[in-house]
Amino acid sequence: MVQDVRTGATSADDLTAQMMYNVLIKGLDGGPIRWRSSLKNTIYDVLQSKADWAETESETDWDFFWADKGWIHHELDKMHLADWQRINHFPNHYELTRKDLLIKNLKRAKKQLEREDRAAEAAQYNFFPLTFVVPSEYRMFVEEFKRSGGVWIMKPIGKAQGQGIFLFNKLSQISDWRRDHTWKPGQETQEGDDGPETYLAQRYLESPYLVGGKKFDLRIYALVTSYSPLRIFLYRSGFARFTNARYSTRKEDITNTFVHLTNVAIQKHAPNFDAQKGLKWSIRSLRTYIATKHGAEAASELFHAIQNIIIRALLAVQPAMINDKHCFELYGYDVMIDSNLKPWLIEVNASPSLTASDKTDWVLKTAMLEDLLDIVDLEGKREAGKVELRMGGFDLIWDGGPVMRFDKPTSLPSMLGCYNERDRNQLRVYKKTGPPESGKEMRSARPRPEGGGAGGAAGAGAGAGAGGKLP
Amino acid sequence: MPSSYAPSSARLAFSPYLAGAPPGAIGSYADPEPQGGLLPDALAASRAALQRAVMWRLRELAALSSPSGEPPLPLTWQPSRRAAAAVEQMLAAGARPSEVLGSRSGPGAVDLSRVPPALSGLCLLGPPDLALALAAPGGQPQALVGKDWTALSHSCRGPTAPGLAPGASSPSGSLGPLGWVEALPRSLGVLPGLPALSCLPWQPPSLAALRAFFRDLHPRQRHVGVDDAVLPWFRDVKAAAARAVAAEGGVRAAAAFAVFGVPPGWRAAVWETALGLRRPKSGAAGTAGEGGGGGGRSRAGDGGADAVDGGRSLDLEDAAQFEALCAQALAQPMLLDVVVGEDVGPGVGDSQAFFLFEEPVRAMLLAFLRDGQVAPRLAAPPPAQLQMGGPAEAMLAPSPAPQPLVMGSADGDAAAAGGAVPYYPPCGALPHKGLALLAAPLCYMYDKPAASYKIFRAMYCRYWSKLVSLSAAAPPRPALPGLLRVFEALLQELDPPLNAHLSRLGLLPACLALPWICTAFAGALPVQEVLLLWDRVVGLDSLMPLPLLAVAVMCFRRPVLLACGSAAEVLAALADISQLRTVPLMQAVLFSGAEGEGEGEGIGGGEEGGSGGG
Repeated sequence: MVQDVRTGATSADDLTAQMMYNVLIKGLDGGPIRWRSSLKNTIYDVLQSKADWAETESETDWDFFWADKGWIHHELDKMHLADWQRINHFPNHYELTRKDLLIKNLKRAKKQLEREDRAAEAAQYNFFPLTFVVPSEYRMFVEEFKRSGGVWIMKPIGKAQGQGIFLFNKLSQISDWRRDHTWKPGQETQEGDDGPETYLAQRYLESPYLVGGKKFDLRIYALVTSYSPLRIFLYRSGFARFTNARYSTRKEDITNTFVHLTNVAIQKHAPNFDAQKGLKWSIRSLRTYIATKHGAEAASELFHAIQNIIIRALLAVQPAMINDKHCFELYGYDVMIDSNLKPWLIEVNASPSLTASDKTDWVLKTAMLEDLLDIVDLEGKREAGKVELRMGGFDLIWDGGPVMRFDKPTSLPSMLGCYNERDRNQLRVYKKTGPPESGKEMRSARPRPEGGGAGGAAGAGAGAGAGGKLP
Repeated sequence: MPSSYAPSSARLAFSPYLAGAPPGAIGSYADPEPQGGLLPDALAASRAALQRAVMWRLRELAALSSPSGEPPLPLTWQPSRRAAAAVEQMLAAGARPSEVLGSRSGPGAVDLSRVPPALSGLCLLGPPDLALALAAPGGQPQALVGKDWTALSHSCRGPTAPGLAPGASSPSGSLGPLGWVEALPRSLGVLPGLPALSCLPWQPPSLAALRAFFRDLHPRQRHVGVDDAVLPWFRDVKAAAARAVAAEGGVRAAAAFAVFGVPPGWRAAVWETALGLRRPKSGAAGTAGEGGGGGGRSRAGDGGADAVDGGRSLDLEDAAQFEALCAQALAQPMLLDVVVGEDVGPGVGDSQAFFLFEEPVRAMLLAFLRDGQVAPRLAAPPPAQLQMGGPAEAMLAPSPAPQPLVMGSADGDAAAAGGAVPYYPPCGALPHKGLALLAAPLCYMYDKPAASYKIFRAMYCRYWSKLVSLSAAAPPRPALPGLLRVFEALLQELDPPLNAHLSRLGLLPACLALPWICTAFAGALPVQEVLLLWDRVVGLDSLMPLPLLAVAVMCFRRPVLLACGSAAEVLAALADISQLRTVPLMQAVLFSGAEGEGEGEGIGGGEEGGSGGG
């Protein structure tokens, strides 16, 4: 992810002009919407393309702030936000997005449901692989491992983009790891920073669904505008990220991360990786593929199940979340599908990469962010309190309760992966204006760079920010 | 190996189990030349010119592919020691030959890396060549041979997967996949139609005749591809019916079912049945195995499908056969592999819909080239030039080939059984541009390349071989000239102003339809629509739906096309047809005027978004 490191390239003149502009707009009642962005990728493009919106550098005087997580953790609680100010994270989003906390919340939700004698619903919380937090649950893990064996995956909770992940099928294979992480079994970590790094030991999904012999995971976007009541919008488009190498569970291949991890950051180092081509498939293509092969019902069922995972994960963390009416959050869900067409939740990202790796990616992300801004509705265009079932490519899937859609007799249980005319419309925009060069050099007020040739190649590297991790 | 039940004639193409079925269960699809095999002069001249050009290109390719100073590449050769060792190593590690063969930069491709960049995107035989050959007025088909084929091939490079990468990197992308049409001689535009077609010894069917032929497409029938989108109960009914049809195993019933579209998920079973690739239901077929042939339905939890899948052993046998062909390809590279590679790379590898299947498709095509079982079953017989000892070999082997050619060895049984002359390549068919696109959609139906291969081979033999054959065959079993003739006549009957308008702009409508027809719309339409179209091809056992759909597209885009002021605009307007829907369009063009306006849904559902033309 490209952090806003405003290197002092700005000339003094620009600065003065900017300051004067700020003074000017602050003086105007109901003037332009002042926005600020910590990121210099598609969100920046989208914000900048908004007519009558103005960028601001101010720490406090903004109407809309696309902040990085660090800022949220360190600054948000120090600020008092005015009614109209909007910011893109909830203060304790990590309840959902930190791997170990997510698992903890899911387990707790399941137990709670069992206590309430809602066994059927509790049984639905079966969409995450068996997971132990090590070192704290090391003994339980070893017990389970000895009992059931199989291939397991170790993931450091604090790292992104596939770093530090490895697979193993013998306890001896983690002995190196244990040496590196000087801890003794059973020792509870007290001070988070000084203790050994926490890992998740997770049962590996050994028979993933393959397309063309290759493994993939899905990146799906969901927007939460409120946790009380919980209000979720699901974006129709998304993509599947494929590995470059043919999937195999042969023993020799256990250590070959190119076979097992779909992270772009990993795959771009694989032999034969073709940055131009990428390894992404739109969810719509995947839905077509599954419907063609297994029938429309099977596809419908699968995508409905994925939608339910997204809802249940949020329901599980809802009690822990501090609702804040200034906040909204765009989550990037990583979902895998196994060979029985059952979806599994891998993790949730609070800062899904918004860097565009290629044309399709740019189209997807800018269209989504524009729709997001429409939903957040800083201009107050919509009637207060009115929520629409569908806003651009977003479909409302939960609004304090299930959203029933009987507007059409053929309405699908989930619109995920369905035709999204936003993709096509945005492609027209892309063709008309050309893609902005991704991020860094964009200093001018109206970036209208010439052709798009370089964008794809340069962006592919930056696209590694996907931050997804995968078993 | 199937030598024990080698079919006695092409009629039983790949249907060993039909040997016990009533004769004529699968009718002949071979190319009967009308009037006792006499080919009209003009068509014969076109064919001769085309074949000469292809032979000439083959020799050029051999010369250009070899390192400078060395003799031209022979037809086949032994892989280098390094490549052989690499292959050996991967096979020893447990990889299947098809997996090794498929990878673009794997050891299987090592020997092909000699191909100079100038040849990238080459094709032996592409739509421009076919157009030129058919356009050459009777006496002088020389124009084609004189053409710089490399330039021609390049002109049709562009984004070869139409509509899938519109406006992609290529500079000629603005005109899309039809860019090459502009390179055709302008004089073509003033002609009423492709000259070689006018002498076909039969009258093209009238609209009324087509309505009769396509009566099952009538909107009063419910169709998968239209009605299943709005009627949930219809989906259920169709799925249940498909199950029954596949379980019963009747060829005719399956075809009759396929005309109305096969519900997704059941396509593999129904097509296999219709093409006679399945064992009819019998007591012995009780093994509940699911060997990939069923498209993995059992995974989707669709119980009951298992009973349909008769032979796991059959699948294993197919897989073994396929792997053997792949192993052969690894052991003995062939000059034509280069051509296949250049078709698969841009056609499938760079296509958004198909890139994941690049490896299986490559393996399928390389295996196909070597499959001696293909030649005797081709609906369009292989040209004599390809016979061993024929002109191809003579032309290509001016210097003595260092290795003996072992064409017959792996498929000797088939050659012996059919009494056929071995060909180069053994399949008796030259890879043409778009061959890869004919294979790629099938990868949406099966997990295993071997299963896709089996049905690809059957469909190529029965249908696709006709797409590049210049035979004079008449409807309902036309080859390319017949298909284009039907297209021309139908467009003229339905929309003379449009026809005239295109001609005024210097475009021959048949040339515009040619690339769609040559790939049976694969790559031009989204996969699910392609498969819905192929449902009708299988169901009617005819390629006639292709020209019908081509006319329908033209008529549907009529307002845009009429607004176009130049050839380039027309090409741009037709470059992306990826939003069109097959079945409603065909229904609309055939029946919209016939019985009142009650069928509005057919047209209304035709397109989701207009295309910017002019």
